Amino acid sequence: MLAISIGPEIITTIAGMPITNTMLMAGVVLLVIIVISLIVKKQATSDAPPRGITGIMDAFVEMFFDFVESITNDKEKAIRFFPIVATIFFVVLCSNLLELLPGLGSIGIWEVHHGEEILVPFIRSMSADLNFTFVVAIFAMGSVQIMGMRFLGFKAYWGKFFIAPWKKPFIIGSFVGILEFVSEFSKAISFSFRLFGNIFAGEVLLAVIGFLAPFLAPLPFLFLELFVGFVQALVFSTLTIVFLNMATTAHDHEEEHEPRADYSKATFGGKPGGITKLNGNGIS
Amino acid sequence: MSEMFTKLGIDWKLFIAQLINFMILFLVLRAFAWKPLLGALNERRQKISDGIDNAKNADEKLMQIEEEKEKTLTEARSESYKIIEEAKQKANKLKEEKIHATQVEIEQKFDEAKEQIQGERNATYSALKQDIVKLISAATGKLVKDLDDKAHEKLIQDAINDLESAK
Repeated sequence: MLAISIGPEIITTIAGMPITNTMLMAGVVLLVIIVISLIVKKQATSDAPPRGITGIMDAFVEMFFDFVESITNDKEKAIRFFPIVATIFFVVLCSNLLELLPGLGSIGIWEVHHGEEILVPFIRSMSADLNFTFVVAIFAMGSVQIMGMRFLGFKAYWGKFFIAPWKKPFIIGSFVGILEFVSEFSKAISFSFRLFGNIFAGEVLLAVIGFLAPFLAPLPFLFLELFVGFVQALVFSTLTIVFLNMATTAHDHEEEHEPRADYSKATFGGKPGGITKLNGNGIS
Repeated sequence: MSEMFTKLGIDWKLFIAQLINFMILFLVLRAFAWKPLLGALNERRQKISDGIDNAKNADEKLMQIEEEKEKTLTEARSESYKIIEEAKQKANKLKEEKIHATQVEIEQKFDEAKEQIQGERNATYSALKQDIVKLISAATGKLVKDLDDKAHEKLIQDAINDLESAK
């Protein structure tokens, strides 16, 4: 019988530390990414034109950097934000695509839980584990706070949230500030549950379809999940950029507001709406 | 609260493990992938824009040089025309001067020759006159013996003078 569990399944326990299937996958992803990074480092610092995996990463970096820059409209900010959001995008994409690996929910060990013998699979996407999504969300929101403090200064940044009730908009101002402060936490929670919900749902969907009609029927769903995995990674990183951008933009108390950054022109892959031009006043 | 966490599969140990995992991923990716790749990207874009700028500059320089060449050529051409013109003028002037000088010389020579001829003629004439006086005095001396020499000569001189003035 198909066993579906919201949390990650424990494969074994080593010295009181539970080893779950998502931990296993995280370890695999960690290893793979470290190997890729070392190759990239070796090639990117040499003069040779990028080839193989470095070429892929190079293309990704170029597209994604233009994407970040098209949202922030500021090269300095884009360079600062890029490692954060690129890491989030890359790791979340990797973990999202793990659910497409064959063997999902079928390769594992049999264990007895609550008197029932169930299959504990080895492969489970890290994104279908709230621990992981919380970690990424807290990393994202934590870097939003740090970047906000770094760009605006400690006092100016926290001054956005804690406004004394005797200042201009009086009690309303301090109330709005508290609301914004709470919303920083709710952002983290919505981040983690959005990603978890989507990927967990996809995993359950694939498992159920695979259980009911193992041949051909899962194919469209595999494609769908490929798409969902990409979109969720993109959504996660895009929202992080937007929050970072919002946190690093000074709040004016004056009436005249700067025109807001136009996110509608942001494009994945750079050119049309982006501000980057090769020989113009963009990158030089 | 803790029951909700357990039901959702959240475990502090797992959470911390994942956190460490993710931080390692972030640091590794930042140090080994994003930084070198961004550097390479920037370098490449810089190179491309530099190359385009260089090409533009080279084009401009070429145009400038072409223009300068054209200018210099035109200048040289007009200069050479001027020089030729000047030379022609000088030659003409020289020619005219020479011709003039020659004419003057010729005239001078001609005058000189005339004068000389005149002088010679005069000399011849006076000598002739002398001879005639002597001849006539000799001839008339023979005819008129009693006429003294002085009066005789005077007579002849007067006759010659009359002849000359009548001429």
